Amino acid sequence: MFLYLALPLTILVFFACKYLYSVKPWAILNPVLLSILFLILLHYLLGLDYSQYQKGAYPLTALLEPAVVALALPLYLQLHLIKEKLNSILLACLLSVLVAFCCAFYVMPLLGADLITSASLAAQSVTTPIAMEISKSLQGIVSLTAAMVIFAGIIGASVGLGFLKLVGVKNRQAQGIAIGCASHALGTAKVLEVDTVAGAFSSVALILCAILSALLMPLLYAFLF
Amino acid sequence: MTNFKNCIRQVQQLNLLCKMINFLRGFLLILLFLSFGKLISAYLPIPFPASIIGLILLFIALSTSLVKVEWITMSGNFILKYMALLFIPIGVGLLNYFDLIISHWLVIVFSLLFTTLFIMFLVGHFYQYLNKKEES
Repeated sequence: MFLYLALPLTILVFFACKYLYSVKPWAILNPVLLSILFLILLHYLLGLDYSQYQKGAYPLTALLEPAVVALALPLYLQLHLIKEKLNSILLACLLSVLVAFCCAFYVMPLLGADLITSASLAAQSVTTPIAMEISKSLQGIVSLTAAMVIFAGIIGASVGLGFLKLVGVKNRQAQGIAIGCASHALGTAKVLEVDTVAGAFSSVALILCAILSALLMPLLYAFLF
Repeated sequence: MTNFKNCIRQVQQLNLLCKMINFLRGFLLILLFLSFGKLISAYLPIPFPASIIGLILLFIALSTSLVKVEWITMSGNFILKYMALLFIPIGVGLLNYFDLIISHWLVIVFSLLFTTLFIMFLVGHFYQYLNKKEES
């Protein structure tokens, strides 16, 4: 029974949370975060079987791969912007990927993370479907990565712009790139609300970071571990 | 008059049909590029996400006008608009990992706050520096 309810329930909860967010646009009321928390709570309260839910909601999970392919569309539409500043954007994204990798595999073990946890944290700044692919190829825990990505996105969307102004990043393009690199689509959506130029740079950065991470992280991992 | 209304309705239905075909064509194209990606990924010596290969192939096809933008605009925008929804089932999968999260909470909180803000700080200043150098 729950098998057939999973898909409509997920969609219903998501749109209810989206509505709530449109009424009260606080960063903490992020629709994705809220939907996940609500559904987890529901599983606990009603003692539902997650494997049943997973099977029922599979169509949504299956659509993630086509969604990544569809990211070619914004990348193509912003081609003129990328061409002009391609070198700077590429270097900035490369730095971001290397810093994320080093933080996960060299800083986090100091706090007691094992290799599996580090692998799950490495892709936290990349947009979810790609982060999950990277996590899978590094033998991380895919669900943990998905949650980390969403949390990282919420941090960037809520305090990102304020933090960047505080530390002296005043350039609009730089703000966009920084948030796109660290907080992917969730941060980008927030930046787009404030400034279109920064938003465009943010989406370019999020796509390039995702591609660079997907290319480099499995290679670095294979060489180093 | 009724005839005219009938005619309008028919045109509207035709328009709807056109949109549906347009949507379907875009979606099938995206799936086609995804399957190209899967094919190439299966033959690669290193594990690399098939969806990214599909993304790169579709981008190349768009840049070389092999695929016209308007063919995939509608379905592409639709799927990207509701992309957030697709993450939810995987996020719910977290309930299988509560023990793991509790035992690693320090790493998780630190990684979220430190790494995210550190990347923002570094990348923001780095890009600003590159930008200034280019201008001067």
